[in-house]
Amino acid sequence: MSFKTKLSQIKLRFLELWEYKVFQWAVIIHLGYFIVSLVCVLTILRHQNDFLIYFNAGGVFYNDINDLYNQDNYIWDFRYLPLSAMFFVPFYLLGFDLGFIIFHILNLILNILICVLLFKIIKFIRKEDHEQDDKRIIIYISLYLVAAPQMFNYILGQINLYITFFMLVALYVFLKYEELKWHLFGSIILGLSIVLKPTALLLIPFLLVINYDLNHRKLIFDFPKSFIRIIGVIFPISLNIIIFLLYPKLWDGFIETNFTGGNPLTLNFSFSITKIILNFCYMYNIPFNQIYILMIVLGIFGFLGYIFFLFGKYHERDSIIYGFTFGLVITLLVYYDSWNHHLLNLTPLLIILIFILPRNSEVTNKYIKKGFFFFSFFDLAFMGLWFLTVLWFPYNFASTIFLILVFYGLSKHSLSTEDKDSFNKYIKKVRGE
Amino acid sequence: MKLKSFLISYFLLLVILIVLTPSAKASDYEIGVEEGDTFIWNCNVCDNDKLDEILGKEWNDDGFFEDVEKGARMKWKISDTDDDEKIYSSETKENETVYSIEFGKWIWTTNDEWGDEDKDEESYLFKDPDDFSEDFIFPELAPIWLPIPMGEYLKNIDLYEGYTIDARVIDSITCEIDRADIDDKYPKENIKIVAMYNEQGVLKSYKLYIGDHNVILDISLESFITINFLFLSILTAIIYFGILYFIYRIMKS
Repeated sequence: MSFKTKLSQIKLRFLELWEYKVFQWAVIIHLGYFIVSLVCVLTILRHQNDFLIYFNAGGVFYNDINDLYNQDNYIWDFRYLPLSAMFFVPFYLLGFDLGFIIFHILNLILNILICVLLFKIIKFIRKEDHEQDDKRIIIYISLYLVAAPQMFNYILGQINLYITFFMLVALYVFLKYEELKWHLFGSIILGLSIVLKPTALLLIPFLLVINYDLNHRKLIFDFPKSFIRIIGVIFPISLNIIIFLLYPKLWDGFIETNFTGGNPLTLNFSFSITKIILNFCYMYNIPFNQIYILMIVLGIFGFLGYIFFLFGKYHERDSIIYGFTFGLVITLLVYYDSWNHHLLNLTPLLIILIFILPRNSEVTNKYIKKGFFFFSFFDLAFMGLWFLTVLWFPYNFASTIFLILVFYGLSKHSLSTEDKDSFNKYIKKVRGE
Repeated sequence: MKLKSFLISYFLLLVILIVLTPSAKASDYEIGVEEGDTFIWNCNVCDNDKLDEILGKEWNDDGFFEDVEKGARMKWKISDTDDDEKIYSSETKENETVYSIEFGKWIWTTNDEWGDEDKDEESYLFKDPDDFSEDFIFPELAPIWLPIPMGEYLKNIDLYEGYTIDARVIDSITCEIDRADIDDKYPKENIKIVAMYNEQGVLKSYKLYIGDHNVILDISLESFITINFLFLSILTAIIYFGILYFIYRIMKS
């Protein structure tokens, strides 16, 4: 198919979508976010944005890599793996203004690609009791486009959309293809997202194709697929080890910045459980060790999440969607800094879950949908409220509650048998039988 | 709406905005406090014995910590500010420009009445961050006031490596002093200071930790409750309770 034909197909499809009022408004509002944030970053927020950190990291990587974790180079700490800085070198070479404009346009393109992937994945996995036209999918994708974290993500010049995009590409590949080579490819893509920003790090254990069938007391473990996935995801991450070995000073800087430095101690509106506990300890002068708190919270949610995943009563191919969602929810509940814009990684997965669960599922209505709407439209308001109450109540707890509700909903569904029959239909559809 | 005309107008607007966007100049610093401003700090925790042991017996002889004890309060009333004063620097052996503030000081007291001020003092910070010495450690380990925006100002000072500046949400400084790094007799063991600042660049909270975050000194700025603040707090409380009720209903349904 020629490029021209493909282009005219895209144009036609876009015109079809443009017929939907909700899509029209979503595009207009989203482009509004795009343009307002672009102007803000180039003017009033020029010295106060996350892109500046990536930009400087690119510069330090280019000029003197040993200095990468010297935080004097940044307005806020640079915390990511060393290879991620390499990605920002081209933006650094373009200069701040042009670099940001290109970066910003790339973010917009990524959002379009995320919507396309979401559409494709949903069409692929949608349960049969859902409406068979596209209207409901378009509504949810439009809601994703107008969600408040989009504006926050743009205005900070953040890289969450890369993570979401890579995660969805990996998910699409895992769902669509059976061959091991594709699973290797998908996991390498996921590994790249972790190199760029370690948000998806806790998704790694969920790549294992493992399940314990409680009814038949049988452990199912697809070793070749699991092995290939783990090798694939570890490979890009392990390239950082070479950098750490070549520049040993970087390792100390990376560990100190992420786990033992001062940043985890300062008050902020992160909605992770770990941070809420740390804020509590800070307020009431309770002695604490931040690493122990992190490990305890991770131990509790990580263990529970994995147990529910392991005993989950879903088909092998669906399990990766639940695994990714469990992994991300656990990350957001556990890591010190869980911000509003990180929710852009989670909301696409919640949309997929809405379509994979039965149309009138109790889990969808009670937990997933409510979580999706809260994260998309209300979380930002609570961030504002936090500033009013910080003196005596520095806890941004509302999103935490909704994350726990999503976690509970996932766990409940994992152990329930409500839609077991529809898995068989899905398998048939996927295999084209 | 015609898609074509919408897209054309949008991209035209985008191009115009990019072209017209002025390049913002590098930010300058300024003194955030003004003449007449009053600041009162409360000492919530003060383990004098431990502090004497770690910082030496003279740690609270003068300066910000003069006679500090648990339950005491201390007051500053700003009498003058100057962002162009010249001070001789022993570091550069020249007169250097500084930001300075003069203030009346009521040293730490447990009396309810303030009475007359105890003394007038002046505090200054170099205008050019390069005028600070290398690996600089502030006398009180974290400064009591700073020019704003403080994050950028501090980032440009060659501070001791244990300092971490975080201006993402609340302006704050963390300083971890490793005993092994210090030539002086004090501190006798590793200590950590977490200091936070208000929007004027004035110390809002100061906590000195030993071990696994055991607080041995905790000082906080007294905040005055205004009608606006009271109104916002009540509104916040209503919204919070509303949300809690909403969550309760979700759980119940």
